[in-house]
Amino acid sequence: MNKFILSIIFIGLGIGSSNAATYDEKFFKKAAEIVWAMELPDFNPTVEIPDTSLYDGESAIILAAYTGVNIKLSERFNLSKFSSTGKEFTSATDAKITTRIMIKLNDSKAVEEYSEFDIDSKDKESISNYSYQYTNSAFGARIHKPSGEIINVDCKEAFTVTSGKGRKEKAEEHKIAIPGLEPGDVLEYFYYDETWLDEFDLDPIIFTFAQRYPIITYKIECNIDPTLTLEYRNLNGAPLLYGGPVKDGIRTLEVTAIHLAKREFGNWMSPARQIPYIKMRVLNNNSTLTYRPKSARRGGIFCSLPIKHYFDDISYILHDFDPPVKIVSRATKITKKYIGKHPNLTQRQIIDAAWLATVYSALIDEGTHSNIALSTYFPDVLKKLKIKNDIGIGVINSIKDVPITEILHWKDPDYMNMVGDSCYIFTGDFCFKPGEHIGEYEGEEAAVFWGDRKEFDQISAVMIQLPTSRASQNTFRTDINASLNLDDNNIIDINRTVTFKGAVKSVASKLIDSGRYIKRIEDFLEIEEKDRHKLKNDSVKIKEKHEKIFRAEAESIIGVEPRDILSYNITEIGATPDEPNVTYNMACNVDGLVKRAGKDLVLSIGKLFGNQTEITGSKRERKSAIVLESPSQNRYVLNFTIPDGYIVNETSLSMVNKNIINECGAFYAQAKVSDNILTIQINERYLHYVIPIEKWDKFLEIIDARAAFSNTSIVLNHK
Amino acid sequence: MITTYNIIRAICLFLFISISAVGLCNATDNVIIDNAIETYTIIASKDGQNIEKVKAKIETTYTAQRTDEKVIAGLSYNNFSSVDKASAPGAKPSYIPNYEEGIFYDDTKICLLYFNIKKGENATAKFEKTYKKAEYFTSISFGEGYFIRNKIVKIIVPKSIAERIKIAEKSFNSNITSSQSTGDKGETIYTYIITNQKANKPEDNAPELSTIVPRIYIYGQFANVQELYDYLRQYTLTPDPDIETVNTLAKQLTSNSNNKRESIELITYWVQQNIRYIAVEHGEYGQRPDIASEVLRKRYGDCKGMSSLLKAMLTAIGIDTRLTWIGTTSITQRWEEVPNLSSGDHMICSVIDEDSILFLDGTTAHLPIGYYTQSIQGQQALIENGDTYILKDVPIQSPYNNCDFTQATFHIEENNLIGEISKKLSGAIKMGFSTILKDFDASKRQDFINAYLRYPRKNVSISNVIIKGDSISSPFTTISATISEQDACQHLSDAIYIDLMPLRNGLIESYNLKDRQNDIQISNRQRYVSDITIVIPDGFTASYIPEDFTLNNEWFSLSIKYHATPNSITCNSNLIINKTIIPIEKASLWNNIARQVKQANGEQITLILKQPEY
Repeated sequence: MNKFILSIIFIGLGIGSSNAATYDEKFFKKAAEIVWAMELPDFNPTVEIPDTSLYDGESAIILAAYTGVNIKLSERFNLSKFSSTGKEFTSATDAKITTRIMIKLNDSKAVEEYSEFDIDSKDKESISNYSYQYTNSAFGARIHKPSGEIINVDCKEAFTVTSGKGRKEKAEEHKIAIPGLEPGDVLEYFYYDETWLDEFDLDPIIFTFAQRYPIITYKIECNIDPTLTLEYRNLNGAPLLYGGPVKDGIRTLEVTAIHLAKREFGNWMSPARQIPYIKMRVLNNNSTLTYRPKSARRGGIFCSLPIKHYFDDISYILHDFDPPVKIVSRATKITKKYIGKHPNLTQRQIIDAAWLATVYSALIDEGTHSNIALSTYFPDVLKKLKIKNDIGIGVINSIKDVPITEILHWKDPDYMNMVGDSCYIFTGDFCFKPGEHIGEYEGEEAAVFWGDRKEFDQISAVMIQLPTSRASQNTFRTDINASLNLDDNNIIDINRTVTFKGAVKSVASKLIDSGRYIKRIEDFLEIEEKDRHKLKNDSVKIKEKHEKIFRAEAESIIGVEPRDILSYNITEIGATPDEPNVTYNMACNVDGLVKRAGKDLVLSIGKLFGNQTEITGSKRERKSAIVLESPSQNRYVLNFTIPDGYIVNETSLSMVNKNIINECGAFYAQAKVSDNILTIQINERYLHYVIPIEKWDKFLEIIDARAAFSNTSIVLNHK
Repeated sequence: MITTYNIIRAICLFLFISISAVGLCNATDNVIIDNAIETYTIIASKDGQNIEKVKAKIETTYTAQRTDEKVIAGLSYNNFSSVDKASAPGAKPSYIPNYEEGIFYDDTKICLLYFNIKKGENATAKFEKTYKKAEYFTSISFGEGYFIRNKIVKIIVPKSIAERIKIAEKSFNSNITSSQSTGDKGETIYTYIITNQKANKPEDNAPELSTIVPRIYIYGQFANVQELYDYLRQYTLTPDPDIETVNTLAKQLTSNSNNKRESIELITYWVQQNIRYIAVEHGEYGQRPDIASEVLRKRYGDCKGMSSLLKAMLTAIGIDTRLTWIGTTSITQRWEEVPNLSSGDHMICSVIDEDSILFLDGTTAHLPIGYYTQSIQGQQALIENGDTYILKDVPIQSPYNNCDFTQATFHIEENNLIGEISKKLSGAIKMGFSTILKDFDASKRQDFINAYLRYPRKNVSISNVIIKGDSISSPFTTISATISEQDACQHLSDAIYIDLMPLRNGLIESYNLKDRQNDIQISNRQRYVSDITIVIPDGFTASYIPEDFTLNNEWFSLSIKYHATPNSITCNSNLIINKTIIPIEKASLWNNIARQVKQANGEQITLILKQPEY
């Protein structure tokens, strides 16, 4: 047999008999040789840990961390690509990324946390017989004992999790439990990932400078082929990458950061705006098989590129986008019919109706419609309706993401529309009406392209800023009527009406599903029964789900789990101009709040005013600004019928009153008795949506007062 | 990285949650099982004396009653079984790994079929499975993730082994009828008909599904407990080439030990503290304990590995220690009753000393020697004894072993109760506290301790915390602190109302019973004692002290007693939980009881200004 035939047989045998249940030993060995040979003097297991509060009392300390990114462009002849696409050569991003960590494990908790690792197995993605992506990952580890002994972890101890059956069985991942690990050890491990990706772009690479545990030294090195396009930003105070030596025509970018505090976790945070990190994209703008905007940079390194360049990309994306005709047609038809039934509509009312019709048409369509797509449908609908207002398509980010001036790619922001001064954006919450101010975007800058989308390639974006709101515009109000149950006066019967207004409606979004939203739009736009969408949802299952949600909602808003929920009804969902708020009614009862003191009663009235987050212990120490979604105001009004034979103790009544006011907001409670009704009102207000850390104490004053109110009791003396 | 694998893994986890937890439970659900038939045909070995294999055919017809819906049908298998065929209309089977909590790696997979059913129509999923090893064909569950209108389960046993193979029925209800018949070839056919059975529905505070879902156990693969024991024991006879390292360590650890008990403690605590629990259960490793030197080298193991190491270390210093197979309370049958592999799910050790047996569990760190977790109390232990075996029940221990004893002395300042509190924890309560504490980051442990001391109040300040006896070997853990419970009183001009809350453990609570199917399981059998003293402020006297409260029922006994002197009021509460399962038919009664307790616990002490003496 000649060699060629032999090699075919060997390959055939290899495929048929490949043992899916083992890791790629050769690849792991190659990775280990590469990684362990790296000269990284910071990886010293006996490095002295500075005696600072940064490292005191931690379960683990990262002594050294390293991320190395090496990416080249690979252009080679590929027959299967040619037969599938007509293009003979690959234009592939060939990436090798190394993450290496040395961590000192101070206690058993840290040992538990770092004793098990998952490793992705080799994988590929194909279309027909053209494989456009290959990935493979390797792992290695060694233990530095306090005695100085170094124990190499043998990856043969890894287990392979497989899927598939028989000849189609393949490895999904590998799992390894590190043997011999004990508190006091220094564990050193790495991940080595290789990705070969043809035509498409890699996912963004994020270098975070605040991890689970404090870090003594963190080094980053990047070597990127100059024919690829490297764009990155350093955010929230992350250091810049510096140009290092040039090797094989590629300049190394690197940075070393030291003494990095561990990541802060807590309430009211926006990690995208508070944690220092570098976000990097390596783009293959040479690709001719995937869409690239005309303005895309073809090769080079770009650090913190002026935002105009990304806005130019966006202008081309929007210019080039071809929306499906049926969405725009359907929306236009629905709106025209609605206008026909209401000839005296104002311009604004028509625009709002057109928005609802557009969102509705996209929702009921079986395809998936992105935010970008929706932002192009709406202006097209308005154009067909001959609306003359200033109409634009814009991009914006919420406070949970980076500001719009710091995006790194046209896919990064949220897309919206401006019509005059009003912003139309669909966030996936079904409780906001057209053009409504949505809290998480308030005060944010947006970049808007005004006019005809087909001319966007010739114009620049105009920067605008969305207005901020006042606390009184975003209110949550609960009106509670309560009384002792006639049959059992250990039980309090409650009837509540809850109203969410403005930005705080997002809290109520879980109560409103797409089915209810669709029906509301159909009712509002007076769509005829025969033309309505046939929902495939199971109404019984939805009802069950709602009951569970309402029970949880009741517990959250009342403050204790209700004993029985007797009824509930959502009367408004806040999605249409005629019903701008979310409102629901609920009847329920609770027990355990009426306590006996001889003949007197003590009502744990504070428990009826909702659960308030209590900030205790280490959470009271904070370093980052407080980020809320919007200024807001929460108001409760309780009317409690005083049972026959009792009067409210005056001193006890006066003790309910509280008044805390400071520059962050206020907490106010007042109680009075009139005509046998005990009325308690509380008002909790937050004036700003971003509060600087210097004002944390002031903010806590309000939070503490609110939390303390849940302990409020009222004495009812027996007459 | 988002890979195909991660997506499958997420689907798998979602699947188990969604199949079980969507509240699908009755005939008005959209998708129900209209009809199903499962046939298990046992095939005898060539000599006709044993089971060679079992072939299963499963056909399930689903109906969508109200709307179109996507259905997921699945069947698990592992290295000792195979899914040979799987089909459903428009579905292609996928074979994905199963992830079970607490298991690092095993060989269980699931064959899944996803298919759509249109409203008013039905579709049938078909599976064929082979159990390749008879000893692993141990049980068949009659539970499903959908309501069952009608299901037939048949087990066909060939004539030659019909006398040997037996079936035990567990957790049956009135929806299941059973019968036995003889086939044309003399085979015995066991038939079970299940009608109108609600879907499995995981619920909060419910007992293990394995104890409540109807099932049958097939046994006879082993003629008796001896044969089963011989089979299990063979896996424990693997030579350990590096046993000397184990022996050396054992001797080192006990070199200064004064007596046998102390040696046992030193070694057991060392294993509990230094060996991490990581369960690797694929293939025969589900039965074969890892050798002791390997567990020692790796510093991890499962219950079998830890027992293997514990036995080796104690044996090295001359203590007679045996491996012991046991079923926890997730297992409803005893070895003698059903001698098959399904009667055990855990391994511990037994130290034999003349007539007494001390059970040691390597997996229960922070539980002092001599205390047993509730999960093994009362369960039958199968103890190795050379070529024979010993059967012995693990003693049921008094709830007094698991105790939280709280003492506090408060004085009143404005609306606050301020004073010193201490908690002395023992048994399972100590174990729970210490285990959770250890699981917190070092920097967050104080937060947990504070939360534990102040429960269930909010707005409480804690300082000067001291913990004693929190080592793995200590029988008690004591936590003491200075505490300020804000707004625990209403200090009015002429009266003080004190919300003392003598019961502070949250154990006696009412449950939401709407649509609930399953029994309720409350915590461990345990004891909670509190002794709280309030110093009466100068110028005040007790006006109202709640009446003593006593309540005894099948689950617990409770007393709350008050005693007043001119200067102080002391409240002593004593709660002993004896029984932890509340049958669903008694759940309403339980809720009424819980409300009574809540009310008694909420009774306020009233102090009034003393009348001036003239």
